[in-house]
Amino acid sequence: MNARYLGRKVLLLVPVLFAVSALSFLLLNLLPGDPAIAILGPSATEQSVAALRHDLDLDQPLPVRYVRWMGHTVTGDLGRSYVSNQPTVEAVRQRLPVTLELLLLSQLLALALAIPLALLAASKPNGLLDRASTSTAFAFLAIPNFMLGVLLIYLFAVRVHLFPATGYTPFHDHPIENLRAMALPAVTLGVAELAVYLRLLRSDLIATLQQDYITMAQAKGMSRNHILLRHALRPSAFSLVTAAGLNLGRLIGGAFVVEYLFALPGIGSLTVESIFKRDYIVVQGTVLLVAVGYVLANFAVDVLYGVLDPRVRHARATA
Amino acid sequence: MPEPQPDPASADVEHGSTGRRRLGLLFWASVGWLGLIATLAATADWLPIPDPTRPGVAPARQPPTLHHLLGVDVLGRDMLSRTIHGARVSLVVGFSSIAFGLLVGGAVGVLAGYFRGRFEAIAMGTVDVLLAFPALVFALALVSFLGPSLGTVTLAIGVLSIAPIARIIRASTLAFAQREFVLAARTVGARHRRIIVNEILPNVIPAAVSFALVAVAVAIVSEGALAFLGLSVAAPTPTWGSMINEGRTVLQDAPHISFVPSAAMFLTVLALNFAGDSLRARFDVGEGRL
Amino acid sequence: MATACAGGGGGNKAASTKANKDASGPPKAGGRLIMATEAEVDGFDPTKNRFDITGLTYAETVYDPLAAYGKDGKVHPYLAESIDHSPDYTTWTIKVRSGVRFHDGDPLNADAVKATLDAHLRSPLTSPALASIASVDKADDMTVAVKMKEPWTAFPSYLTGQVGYVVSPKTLNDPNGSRHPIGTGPFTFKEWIPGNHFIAAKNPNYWQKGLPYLNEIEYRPIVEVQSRASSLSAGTIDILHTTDPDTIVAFRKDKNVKLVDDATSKGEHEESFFMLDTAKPPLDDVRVRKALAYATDRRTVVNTVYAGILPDATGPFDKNSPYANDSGYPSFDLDKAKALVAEYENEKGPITFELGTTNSAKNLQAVQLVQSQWKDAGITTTLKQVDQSQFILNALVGNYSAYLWRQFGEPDPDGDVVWWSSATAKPIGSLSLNFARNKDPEVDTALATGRHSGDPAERKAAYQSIAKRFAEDVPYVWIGTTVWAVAAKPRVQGITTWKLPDGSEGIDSLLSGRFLLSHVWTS
Repeated sequence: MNARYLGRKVLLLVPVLFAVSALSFLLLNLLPGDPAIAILGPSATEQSVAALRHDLDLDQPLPVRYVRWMGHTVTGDLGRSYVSNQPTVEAVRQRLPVTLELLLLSQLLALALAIPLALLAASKPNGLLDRASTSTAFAFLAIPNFMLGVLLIYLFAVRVHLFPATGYTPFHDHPIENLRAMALPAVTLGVAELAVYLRLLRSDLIATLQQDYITMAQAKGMSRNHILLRHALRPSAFSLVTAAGLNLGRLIGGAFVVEYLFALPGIGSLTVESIFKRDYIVVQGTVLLVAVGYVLANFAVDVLYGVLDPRVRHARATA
Repeated sequence: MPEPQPDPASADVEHGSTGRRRLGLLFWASVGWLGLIATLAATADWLPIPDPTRPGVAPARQPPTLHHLLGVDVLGRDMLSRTIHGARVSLVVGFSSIAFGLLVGGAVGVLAGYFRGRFEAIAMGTVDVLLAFPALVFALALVSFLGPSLGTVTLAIGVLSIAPIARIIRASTLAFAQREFVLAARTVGARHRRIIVNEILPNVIPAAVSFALVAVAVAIVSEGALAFLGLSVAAPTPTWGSMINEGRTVLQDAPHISFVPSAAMFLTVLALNFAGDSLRARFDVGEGRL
Repeated sequence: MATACAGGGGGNKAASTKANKDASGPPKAGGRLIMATEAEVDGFDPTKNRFDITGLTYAETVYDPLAAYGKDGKVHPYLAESIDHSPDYTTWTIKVRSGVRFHDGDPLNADAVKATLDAHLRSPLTSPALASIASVDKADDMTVAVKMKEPWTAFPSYLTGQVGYVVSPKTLNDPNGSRHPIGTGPFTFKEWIPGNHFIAAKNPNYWQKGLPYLNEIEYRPIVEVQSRASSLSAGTIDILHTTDPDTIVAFRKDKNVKLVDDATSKGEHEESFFMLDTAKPPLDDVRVRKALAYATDRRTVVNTVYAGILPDATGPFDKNSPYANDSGYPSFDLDKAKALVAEYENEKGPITFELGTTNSAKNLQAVQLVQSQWKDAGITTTLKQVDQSQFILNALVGNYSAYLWRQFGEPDPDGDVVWWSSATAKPIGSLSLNFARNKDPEVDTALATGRHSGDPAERKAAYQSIAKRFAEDVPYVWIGTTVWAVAAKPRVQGITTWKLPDGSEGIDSLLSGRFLLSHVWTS
């Protein structure tokens, strides 16, 4: 990997993060209400709201608040929640492992099912297996996750006491309990991803199988399985990796619904609760975190590209 | 052991140029279902079905009967009527939001892929910002600010679809912009507008349409997610998403309330998928080029 | 013995055969319970953080209130040894128990009580309700004197809630104190990870000897109603509280779940109602408001949306309240509604306005049903759902017409003064605690009588006259009385009765969702 290419990618991070944070600052301040109302609730009076707004520095104009926030953020201080006074960094640190684990497990699950299914489907395109697996996968895409979650809880927690219905146990406290608690949420979130990955990989594999070098390998008498696994899967993994990277921002939304249903204390629920309480500081923190995650994931995708296919390294470096 | 020859049918599918495969039964069945749903949704007001917002037409939560073929919901409203009326919102949101995304994202993608250079850098940078922004925060903020309505929901989902569509269209354009016929047109001094309209668009549009059909399916499901958060079209207008959500709480006692709209959504998503798939196969569009 | 009756209200006979009563025999010490709550709190500082039911439950774990209601409906001293008043009710003297220590070992004394009350008087959050207090003075080491600007007979009732918890001055002075509370309560604060859990351990030096029974409690906020119920069925948690009628009905039938609800509890419950902005046309016309009352079929709403379990409400005091009366509130009568609508429309044209609620699925069902009932009377409404924060703001500034609301569960009606008084009714656009903006001199007079009078009969008459005024003037369209329930595994004991420190019986253990875990044990 070329150092200049890497450097340029890192530089790109700055304007993207800047734009994302400015956009979220603006969007959130468009919302009616402010944290003072969320804190005081129905017993808010003119005087108490004014006093609290002053205490929270909310009486400053928007640009001033943004610049101040930026100043602190650059030094790594993401501020404190208006509502609970908890440092944003601490809140994020408490909740990030939950969401990361959820995302990781759901993606692993989706990929673990999607790759073999796609290989089978691509080995005989439009065959019965192909048709059946792609349609089934799509059937899953059509089940909203809030419905699937309720069903899974009812079947596997209430009817059969296989998994806990809700809750979270940290992995380092009790690994087995942790995985039991994460099983249903991961399935709920992963099922829709399965369809996306399966579709992508299948059509990509079919396209790759028509490339000249595959025909050559066939001519050399290599077995079909060998060709599929060794020669076709590797380049086809590109789009998969890209899709996985692209998914991050969207998944946070799905993660909220799953976190809400399973009472998991993750980033998704932190973000939504904070929006409802107009706790701008915390939302800013999580939005920034997701953006950094997105950019880093795509950065990792680029690096992976090079690993997966040496030709890309060269092409990208010169592009 | 000799390898079997590649399935000729599948070769046809993927090499549209060598002999285009006919659109199969599944495609027409899908189009038929979509047409039926669309017709019912369009003519819902004149159909002999009860008012979808009228509670108490039968005891609440009653399962399907002869009078109410799909049963009634938690407030005793006719499910058949609600499903048909709900199709309206779901289809309008699904198709218009993606049409909006195609219009904006498509234009950005084509121009970026064709002109490259600074415009591409700025356009794709903006796309990156949109993708890096948590979709849910955007939707929540927009819908809370503008108030939940058909227009707002469509706009929110539409804006969110711009970035992925722009990416795909740009990739598609890039591939064609280097092809012989485009280069030839350039050499003979054709204007950019002409090249884009005559050479690029006809090649990009099929890819866009087949992707869009799948995107419509995703948009229809997304409306359900917004309904779950109370951010969809204002009640009592039924939408499939809000109907599923209303039934969610009584899944054990009255499963039909969730299952009926789920089945409608499921068949529609499936139909969109098959239609998109068949079109893609027909026009030889690889989907992997994100 | 166990007196709180399960299965009340809905008249579910099957429930009475269920073992909802506590096991006999002496309570056993030890054990750990996980309780699911309906929400998460912002923090533990009563002077900074708003306490809803979850907040009060958390607070009662680490703090003790100065006073508590007994089964007799009277306020009894709790952490206070005595609460006395001057003959004219302008000075209240609170003497706290001696020998009580905070969890960090500091002694409980007058300084701590004064610090807490002073912090309330400075607090933007709680000071509006305490506007009648002139000063808090230390009388001696264990006694404070609270001087009032006017006679205030119901002041002790405030000491049973958010204002009554005595907080260590260290917590009050620490900017992070709201996240590490120090109190005198039955459990000591151990860990709070917002959105995940709050864990409290037994206070070994608790001043009520023998209490609490449990070694540790873990609270988990599970906001999603159905997930909370499923968690109990699946055995993930031991105990929960809920207002969801479907959950309550399902658990009444469930043999593996012990359920106690407050449908028959004596005392004030919250009412569900449509709050009307009486300053905004067309709702500024009493004929329209009356038409809404006549057009609302409460029974159908309760039966369809609330599983039939909510007791009827015809005023701010439900039938179990000492202030209950026949308010004369209109019953469902579509013809009368139509007549009033016609009369108004002939003069001023068609009636249309906005009908609002929050994002909750249950609320949405209720407003849709009521919307169609009002439509039958010729009243057109458009529905609007907004999130909780915006909902409250809209009510405060008058940016609404009719909102589905739940309130008026203050233990003494005097607590409702800020919601009903003309003094807190501000024009549209300004923050107004009188959300209905209902200015009624008769209500004001009655509220003043209720606040100043020490004669229970006189107070009762005053508050009953308010219910009558509301019935005539209809600032609120009543729907029903909220029912709270606690559901637990059968091994959980001590959820029905409890004793106050003076040996008398406490108010129904569960009232309006407030629930004391210090008396709970496991068998």
